[in-house]
Amino acid sequence: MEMGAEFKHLRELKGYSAGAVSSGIVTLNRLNAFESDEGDIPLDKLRALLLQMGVSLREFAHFCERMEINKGTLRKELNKAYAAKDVNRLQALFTMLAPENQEPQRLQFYGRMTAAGAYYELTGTKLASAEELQRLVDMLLETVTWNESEVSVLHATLILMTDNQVFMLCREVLGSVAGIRPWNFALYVSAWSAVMQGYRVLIQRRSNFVATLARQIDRTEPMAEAMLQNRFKYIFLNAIRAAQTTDSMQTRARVRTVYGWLVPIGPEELLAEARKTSIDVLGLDL
Amino acid sequence: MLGSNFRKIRLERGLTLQEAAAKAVSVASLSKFENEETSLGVRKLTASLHNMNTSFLEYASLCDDSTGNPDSYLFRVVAAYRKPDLATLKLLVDEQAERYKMAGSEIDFNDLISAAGLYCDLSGKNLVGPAELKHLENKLSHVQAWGETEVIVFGNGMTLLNDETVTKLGLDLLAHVDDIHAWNDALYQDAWSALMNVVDLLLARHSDQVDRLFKAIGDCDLPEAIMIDHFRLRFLKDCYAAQKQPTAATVALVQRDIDFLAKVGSKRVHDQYVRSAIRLLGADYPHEEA
Repeated sequence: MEMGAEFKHLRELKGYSAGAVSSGIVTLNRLNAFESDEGDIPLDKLRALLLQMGVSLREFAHFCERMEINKGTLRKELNKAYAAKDVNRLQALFTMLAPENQEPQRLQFYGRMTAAGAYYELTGTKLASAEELQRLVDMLLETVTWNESEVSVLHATLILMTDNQVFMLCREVLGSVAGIRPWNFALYVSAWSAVMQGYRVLIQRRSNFVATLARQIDRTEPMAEAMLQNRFKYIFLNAIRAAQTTDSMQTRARVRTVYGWLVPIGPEELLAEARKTSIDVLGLDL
Repeated sequence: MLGSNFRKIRLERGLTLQEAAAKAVSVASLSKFENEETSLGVRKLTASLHNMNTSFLEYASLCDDSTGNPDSYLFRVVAAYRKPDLATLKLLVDEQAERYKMAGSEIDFNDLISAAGLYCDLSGKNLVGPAELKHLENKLSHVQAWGETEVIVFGNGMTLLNDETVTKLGLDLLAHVDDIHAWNDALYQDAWSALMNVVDLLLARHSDQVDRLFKAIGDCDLPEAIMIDHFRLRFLKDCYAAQKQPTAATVALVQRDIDFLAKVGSKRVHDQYVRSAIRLLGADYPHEEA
């Protein structure tokens, strides 16, 4: 849906007539043309029209994003298949989202790579070629502004990437988090979650990049206090890392203790992820 | 503002006017727009933003006087509320009341309610008149679709409303929260925060509506992405149990929740929850005088 149609949809939802909204700002014909996506209107006029309905430009932008429904639907479909461990569905989505030409549509390509990442997480088998993965890494490294789509595909595909790629992309995201925080807290949380996923992947591989990424994280502006999940993850992963470096009663006890903090209050998915990491890295079932 | 904010983003991205204008608009028009000499068509603007790899939402947030960027009104209000700095908050309410009186726009009204609601939460004093309260109640009772405005106004302004209205609106929001999740993750979090505010408020008022709300919420396992709300729900449930039966065991559960915040290093949030426990449990929550 184009912006004009979005405006019309919002106006009708708010119960305003085109005449009432346009009054004193633009002619009715001009508003009708805009709403039919046949004409443009100046930004300051759009803002004035929205103000008539008590809607800010920002809220209208949110409203428009809502209609990027394909993006959301595909992501939810992928999440659903992953949560249900439906590897056949993930494989089908990967195939279905194959590019039709050399210039793949960005969101479709992200969806395909997300399916590949989820499939690998569940089966250990790589569906995407090295060329495709490199193309994704190049696209993400060229990203100037990280948004939901980029952060989401990064989170899902870090597991497929080389240690160097994981480190480079996490460093890029870390460079952006402070800028994202003031205007989109949900995206800020997702960005930190992706970095924690990268840290987890590197620890699982006993990569030489672990210490470097940890230094990079420590140099970044501290995580928001309200972002409990990522603050917990970082402490837990550091406990895992310590036990990995020096496997002793004390270091293992520390892993159990930190996990114990979460047990009475944590969301199920976070508990499951922590348990899995401990088993994978230390062979320690919590 | 509109043009200068565009320029701010462009310069932050290290892009030239030519690069931002490419195939979207003439360099001359874009330059005039940045200098606030002329406006720019919305489609040309979004195409130029696309050239800068910037979403319309990010740009609109930067331009928003009300919320969305650190200089905006509600950011200042929330900062004063969190400190807490009652004097500054009152000044912000007065300033907004004056603005609303002069301009009378719904956006000004919403900001006034948010600020006055947060002020009331801290001080117990209501700074808005009966006409505004009636308008607020009427506005929220006829929400067709819970959007950002409604969720924020309700989340901040509910302290101005009575228990029954707050509960009714809370249940309505709860019934729509999954719809919101389908299209807006950020708003979904805001909606749950507002719902937790409802529970908190009703608990603080020792309202008999709390049970109704807890029953409706049930044992939901909120997603990891909004763990702060998942945590808050746990905390409020434990506070409720301790309110009903203040024993060492029930209070210990509240303390366990609060301790988690200290363990993950969330000092400021920890202190907020200590204050919250004192407010909800009074003398039943062992604490040193601040």
